[in-house]
Amino acid sequence: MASTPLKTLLRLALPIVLSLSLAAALACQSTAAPEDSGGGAAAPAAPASGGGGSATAMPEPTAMPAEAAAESYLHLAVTPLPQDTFLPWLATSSGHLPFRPMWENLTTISPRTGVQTILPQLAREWDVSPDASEYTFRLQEGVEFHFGHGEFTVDDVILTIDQQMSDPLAGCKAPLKRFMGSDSMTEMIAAGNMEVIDDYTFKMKLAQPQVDVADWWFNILVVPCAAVRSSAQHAAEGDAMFESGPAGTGAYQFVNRELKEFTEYEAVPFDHWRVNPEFDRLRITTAPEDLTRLAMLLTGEANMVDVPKVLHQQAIDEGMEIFESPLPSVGLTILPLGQYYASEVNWNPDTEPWNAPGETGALVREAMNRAINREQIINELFKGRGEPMYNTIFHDSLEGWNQRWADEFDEKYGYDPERAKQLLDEAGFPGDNGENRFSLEVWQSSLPGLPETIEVSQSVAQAFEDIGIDARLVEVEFARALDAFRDLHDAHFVLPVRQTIRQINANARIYYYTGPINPDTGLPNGGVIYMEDPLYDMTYEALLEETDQAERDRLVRAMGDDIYDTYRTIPIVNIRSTLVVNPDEVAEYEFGSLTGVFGHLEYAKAVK
Amino acid sequence: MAISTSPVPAATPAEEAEASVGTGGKIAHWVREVRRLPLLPLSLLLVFLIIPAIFAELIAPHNARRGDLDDRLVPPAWSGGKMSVRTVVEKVNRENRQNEVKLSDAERNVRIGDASVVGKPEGAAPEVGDQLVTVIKQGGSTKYLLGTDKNGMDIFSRIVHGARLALVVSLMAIFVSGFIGTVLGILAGYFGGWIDTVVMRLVDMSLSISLVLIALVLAATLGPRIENVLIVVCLFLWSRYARLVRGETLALKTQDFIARSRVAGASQFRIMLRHIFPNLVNTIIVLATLQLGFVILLEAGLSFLGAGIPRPNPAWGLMVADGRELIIDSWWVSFFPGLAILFTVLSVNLLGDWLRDRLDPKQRNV
Amino acid sequence: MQRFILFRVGQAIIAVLLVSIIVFMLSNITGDATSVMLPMGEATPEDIQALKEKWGLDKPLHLRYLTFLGNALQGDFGESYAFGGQSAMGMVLDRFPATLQLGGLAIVIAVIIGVPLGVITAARKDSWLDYQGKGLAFLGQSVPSFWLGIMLLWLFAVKLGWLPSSGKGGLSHMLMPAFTLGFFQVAALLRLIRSSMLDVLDTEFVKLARIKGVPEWKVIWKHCLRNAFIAPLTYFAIIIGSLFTGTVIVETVFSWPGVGQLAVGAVRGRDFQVLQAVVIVGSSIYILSNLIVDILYAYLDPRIRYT
Repeated sequence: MASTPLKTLLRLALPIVLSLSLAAALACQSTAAPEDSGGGAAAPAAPASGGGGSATAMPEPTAMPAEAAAESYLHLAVTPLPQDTFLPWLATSSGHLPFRPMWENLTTISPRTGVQTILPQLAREWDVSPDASEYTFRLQEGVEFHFGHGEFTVDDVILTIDQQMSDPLAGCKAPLKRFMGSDSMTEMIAAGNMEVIDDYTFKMKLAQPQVDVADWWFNILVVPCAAVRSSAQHAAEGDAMFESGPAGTGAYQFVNRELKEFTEYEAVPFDHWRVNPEFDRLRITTAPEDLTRLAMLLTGEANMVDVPKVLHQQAIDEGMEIFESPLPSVGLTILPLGQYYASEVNWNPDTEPWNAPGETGALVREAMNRAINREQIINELFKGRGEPMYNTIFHDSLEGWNQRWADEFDEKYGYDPERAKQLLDEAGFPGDNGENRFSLEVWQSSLPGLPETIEVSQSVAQAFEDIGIDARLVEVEFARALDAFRDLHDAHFVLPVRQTIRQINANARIYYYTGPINPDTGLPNGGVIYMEDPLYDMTYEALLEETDQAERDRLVRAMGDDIYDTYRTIPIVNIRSTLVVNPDEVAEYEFGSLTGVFGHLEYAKAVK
Repeated sequence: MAISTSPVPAATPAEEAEASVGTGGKIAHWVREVRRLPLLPLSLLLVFLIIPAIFAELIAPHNARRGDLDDRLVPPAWSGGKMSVRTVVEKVNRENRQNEVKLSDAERNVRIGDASVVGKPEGAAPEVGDQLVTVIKQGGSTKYLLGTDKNGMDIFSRIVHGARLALVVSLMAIFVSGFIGTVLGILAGYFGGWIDTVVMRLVDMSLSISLVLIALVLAATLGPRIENVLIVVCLFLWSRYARLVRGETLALKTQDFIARSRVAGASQFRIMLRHIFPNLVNTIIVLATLQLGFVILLEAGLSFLGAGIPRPNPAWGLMVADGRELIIDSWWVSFFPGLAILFTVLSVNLLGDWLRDRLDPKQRNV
Repeated sequence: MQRFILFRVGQAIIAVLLVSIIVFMLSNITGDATSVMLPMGEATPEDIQALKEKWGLDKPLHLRYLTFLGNALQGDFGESYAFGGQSAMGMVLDRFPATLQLGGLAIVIAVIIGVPLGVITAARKDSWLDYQGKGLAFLGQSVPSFWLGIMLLWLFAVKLGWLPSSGKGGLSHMLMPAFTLGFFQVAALLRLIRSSMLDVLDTEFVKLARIKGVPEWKVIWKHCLRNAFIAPLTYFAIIIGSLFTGTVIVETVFSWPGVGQLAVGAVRGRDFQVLQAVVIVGSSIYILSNLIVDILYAYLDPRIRYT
């Protein structure tokens, strides 16, 4: 040990070189391995269960589609969704996407124009009575279930709805029960409220008028629980049908899946009633690490991946292309939680000035809005693949849009830290020398499908600091934030949330509707609550039953005006979905407008 | 784990012999003393951990918790400058990607905002056949010595402040667990009996629980917090001290000087504090140094998994995690923090090894 | 001996119980599972109440623990919330082979590299080679495995394209994660073998063999190594322990679909049923391997039994 530092350094440096060369030697040996094992690297692209024979001949995985005999593969690698379940009624609207290719529903939405355009799918057409209390659905004829489970009829719709309503965990149980007035469709029939006219026609009389039964509750893209299952398969296999491979009516049929790893489909062996997919097989792999997904694309293991926008340049440099959805699919908005005015739940004027009723709170919230440089966030964090969000849950493709919100946005919400400081002074929070006017917590959590949220939270906290607010970042799981949401007394922080652009009704229920207060718990009967206002509650309830479009527009606009003018939220950005694709293999892709990267997979076009 | 428990066969200090020989004046004596110090680990440690930790504010040019979004992913200062490339537009892409064009030279898509069209006004839409000037890569600047991360935070400043975080967290963990372990170890060794049994069973228990799994549960329930790291590390480390200290105490107890002070009427507390503890100090210091590297690695690993120190703190493990996805283009984001961990832990381990040889050769086979 | 074994087994059972209590308490003190499981915005308080009753969440904590323990003993940790209807225990068992494969290969790599190096460095003590070995050992114990993994990934998968980046497949998929995992063990094993070899080389028995004219290579590789292997046995439990720690990190870096990745995913998704299953099964294996090593060692070397 009595050595000079240099000598010691040399002694230690050599092992570094040694270990590296060792690794290199190991790696050299293994280069043979992928070739030996018949495209070990290409294995996911053409597993033995499929056309395994063709895989062995491949010199390199990227050459896959060029093989004449090979089946064409669409291999999508995505971040794991919060859920991975085949039980449709347990899935959230994003959680069901990996199994969507095999299923269809009564209605769907247009990928081009979004949720405002409802398209027929398994329902050929439907009539709604003027008071929105009677629905008649006529179903598509000649639609075949997978694996020979027969033809689609009204029985399958009944099974679908009844099956999900028997589980208390089901997401749509409560709202469906509200308008159906029964615990199942079978009960409705028994009570005479539903009539099966023939195999392809049924008529429902609702217990309570509801305008969006076809647009929303029976729509595959928005509500997964109503993905139509086969009653014949259920009769034969019971609930085990979900284990063995459920039969749907989609253009792809189920082949195999490994929980949390991949789901694999093949094109149906018969002529599909709607579309015959260009790719013979479809594989959706989930990989939690961004780098892994990118590497899968670059090494040819996958040909379409979802990676954060900050990685795009790396992919472009390697010859990949970026596909972008025509419409924004999700938004990012920041909710200053705890604006409880109706039930006067505790808010502390010193610690939560943004929750003060009336003018004071609005001034503080305006200041918070003006502290944020949205342009920088959109350009830098989202690489320009987004547009400003002007008002949380509202969008110009949805009903009740008010152009004023966009026109006046710069003037009312624009980035102006000096003005923000003035506003805080006016509101009565001068702080000492303009510092530490008050403190707040910004809860940050990684939101599925929106990896940039963490960076946005950090930059928002920084912006608050710049105007003298002592902002503290708290890293939490989103589920914990949800816990806090449910208890009025806990929700006193600022939370970025991912907002899907969908029907006003649906989002108003989540974001602004309180519902009646439950006398037992003292809490509102609705679900997630962070804001109370009688106007919003009234509007939401009216929207459920109002069928006249002009009146609906008026109601929505009045609510939106109030939210906009009193700065109830901090809207940030609406983001267009992007996928990085291998341009040698995938030519075209239809994004769903609301489903993010999971578009209409069956319409993807292969490079010929 | 093996840091503390594996026997390290170290080279026998050759200088033992020569130490007794020299009396060539005071200067020569001191030169020898200094030469005897493990200069490499000490200097590495000073450069990578101690100096940055103490003088973080003076050294770091930027705020370690704030970034400038306009300066995202700037490469390190020495890497190449701006490169403008002139290329011909091959095709303008479909309408859903209308803000991109495809260039003829490479399979590159370029966003219109990032390029200017030769011979056309600023912001004009390029058409097929136009010449485009694109900036391929922005070079580094001296403003950010080691570049910036995806939040535009200065990596150098974060590494410097990260040193303080690493040092404070690991010292606190080692101090707390060392205190608990020493107290319990002395008590167990000195009194024996049921105290010994209980302490040693707890030690066995603590050694048989998997640390990372408990840390993950804590992170899931309480969220990532510095306290979690401390709890987990202390839960694990105290037993090492307790076991070692107990053994040493058992040996010391039987020695004459203890018996003498007992006869002289010293209280048991006094014997433990004044006679036994001073004889354990070397052992404890050596173990603590050997553990330091392990604790730094563990903390970094937990932070990497999202079960340790939360954002936006400049924890080294977190920085490596945040740069992982960017490794293809922006290697510097996770490379440098990882290097900081490597050199720090390496120097701590070398120092611990040296200390063990000097102060407590017995532990070589612990 | 019997008493010792009984005693150690009892202790191991208490340790497992302790882990189960820690895990159960931790996952129950912060909020209750219903709010996590119910979909956002749709559940009414009646639904929540019904769920609580269904899962017995309305009962006092200690009763719930007993129920939990009773079910856990039968291998039933409940159903994963994120994977509707899947048994948590089943998911853990599904993932186990992958982790074992990776850990096994890591140990093989550690032995192939670590043991010969340990022997050689001991045989050539204080030589140039010995210093290199020592340097390698220090390096192995100082390099953060997650960083090493990322650097390997960058070099061999991204830059050179020699190895697949991630996921499960043939041997080529396993090389990088197993090497990353094994590197730390190489260092540990090298030091262990070296020091225990040095002890053996010092014994009369070796000197005798040399005097007798047994060739040097035979002395070292046959006579010494066999004896030198006993000491490292005690550290086997520690190696298994650090492998466990390592797999969680390495599986995350390389997207290896093993138990570690499952655990990290369960943390992210707050999937407590799965997390409980992973932690309790994992800790039990860890405790069991400690137990086996202890008993084995006590059997080989009766002196240590009661210390």
